[in-house]
Amino acid sequence: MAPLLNPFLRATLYFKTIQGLGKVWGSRKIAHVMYTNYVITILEKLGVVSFLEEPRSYDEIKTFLGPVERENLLKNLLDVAVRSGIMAQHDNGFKVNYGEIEKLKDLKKRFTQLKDVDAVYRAAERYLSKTALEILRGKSKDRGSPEVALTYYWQENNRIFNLGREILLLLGGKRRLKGKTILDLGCRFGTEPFLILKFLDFDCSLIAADFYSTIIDECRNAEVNVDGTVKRLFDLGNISFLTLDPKVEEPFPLDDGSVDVVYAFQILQWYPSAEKIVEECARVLKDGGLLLVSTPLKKKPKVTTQDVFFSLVGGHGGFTVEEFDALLKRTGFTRVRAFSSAFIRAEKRSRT
Amino acid sequence: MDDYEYERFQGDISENGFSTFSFDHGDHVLEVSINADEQVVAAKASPWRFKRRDVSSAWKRVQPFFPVPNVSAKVLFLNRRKRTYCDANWGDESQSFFPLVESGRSARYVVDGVEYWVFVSGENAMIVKRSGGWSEDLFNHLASMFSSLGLVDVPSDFALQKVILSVLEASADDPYLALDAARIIEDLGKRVEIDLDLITLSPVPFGGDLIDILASVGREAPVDALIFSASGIRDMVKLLKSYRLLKNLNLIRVMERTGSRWHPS
Repeated sequence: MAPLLNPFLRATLYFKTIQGLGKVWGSRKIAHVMYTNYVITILEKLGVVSFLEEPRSYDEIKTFLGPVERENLLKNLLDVAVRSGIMAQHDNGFKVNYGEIEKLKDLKKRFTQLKDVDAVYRAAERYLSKTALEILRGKSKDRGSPEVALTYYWQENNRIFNLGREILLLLGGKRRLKGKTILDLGCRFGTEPFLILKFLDFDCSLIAADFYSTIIDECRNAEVNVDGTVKRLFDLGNISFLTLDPKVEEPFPLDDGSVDVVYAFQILQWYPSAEKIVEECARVLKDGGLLLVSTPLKKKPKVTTQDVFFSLVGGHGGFTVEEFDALLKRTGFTRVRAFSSAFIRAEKRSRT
Repeated sequence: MDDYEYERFQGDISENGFSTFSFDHGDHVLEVSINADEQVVAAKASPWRFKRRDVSSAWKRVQPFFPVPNVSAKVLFLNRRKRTYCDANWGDESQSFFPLVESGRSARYVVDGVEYWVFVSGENAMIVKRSGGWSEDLFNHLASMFSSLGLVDVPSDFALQKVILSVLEASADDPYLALDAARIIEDLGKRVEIDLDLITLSPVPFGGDLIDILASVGREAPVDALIFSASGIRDMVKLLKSYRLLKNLNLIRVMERTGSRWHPS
């Protein structure tokens, strides 16, 4: 996956990021601090941190958490906790490292950008910790589950998310996107489609798609302000709505080669069927069509704190840069370019 | 409109492009000319000249509507099959307007500069005396809301009347409120299971008033009880606007319709 070559666009994106965040986003350090603090919050609320004041064996932790069915997830959780330093592993078991926890909490306070994701910390404190426990005990959750959907609903107007959405649009290029048919894959509750429409001066045909009819219903009815008039999203002329099969066993209800652009912001990491989703994106795109993806990419294949956090709240995991690059090429994409560690642009290979 | 008049109406429309209705007001008759789209093209007051029909004997007034504080919307709720009606804030001479629902179609009429919006859904109908001006969007949204009625009897359905009156009162500020209300109307008579813990813990600003409404009915309650737990117009608007979101986030789960309708004691 090549870095973004266009120096002007690269400068624009860096400027936008600095303007929005005060410094360049994409720092793996910030992501590490953010996701490790999510995990710390969950472990604290579950009582694991207090429980590990004394060294405890894996089996003792498993018993403490109740009938754990997803042992791999628990092992991964303990593994990332040790690797991130919030726990130490000795011969006699795992023990909490309060010094490192305090350090990470302090870093969280110092990264002012993380104030914008406070929603997730509060959700983790209030109910996501319970969700995590249910998942460890074998319960199935996904993006449509109340706790997860609620967290995401709350984040709809999050500054960091909206900045990310705009960066992904800039990566596509305003001039190139205008007048086109755009599939907004994983549109959520309405903020994102409206942001796309506004960015393109309402000059596009937008298909807002998500994997749950309830989310699409909210998206359709989202209140938007158009030139001082409050409207609902469905009342704007150039937008249509689609509900997709969350297991992607059914193809997207769109014809082959029917859209110019697929815009998928922070959605792929939620689905074990991410490869099928990308295949469907390739199918519905026209030859030469543009795929714009934002998803966290990691350097190495080993499980990260971010992967564990997503698994604990009903999601899946992230790709490595190489895995995602290979996936895109395998599914017919070319000219793959990346900005930072989370924004990717690719074109569907022309058959001619 | 009886069969003869309806045939005359149809005949006039095909022959002249419009037909004239007469509204008997006792000392005078209002003549309203309507085109094929049921839009008024002319209206005038004339001396009484037709034989006055005793409309009131054909229609029976049922229980008074359930009053909603600070709501002054003027509405007639009718059941065309049962020939029953209930008037909310309407005043006298309501019977003169009953013929407006006979065509079985939703339409807008203007008589003496006053707008009357007629909505029909199956055997149910309502006539709204409008004090505000014409808004096609609002009319369409109200028509859409009214078409979402299930097997209800509008003149005797207090919960439904409370929803409709609240919508009419508040829809000047938010014409889409009627569409939100349709979501709760389609669940009338059903019960809901309420995840009050998650709603209370949620950082989504549902607001203390709404949480109080939900808490007051318990963890499982009829939708009708929710409606009657909202005391003022502000609470009603909050409930109507939040109901879809609560359902879509699975914070309330609708269960199958069971037993008879719930009524306030």
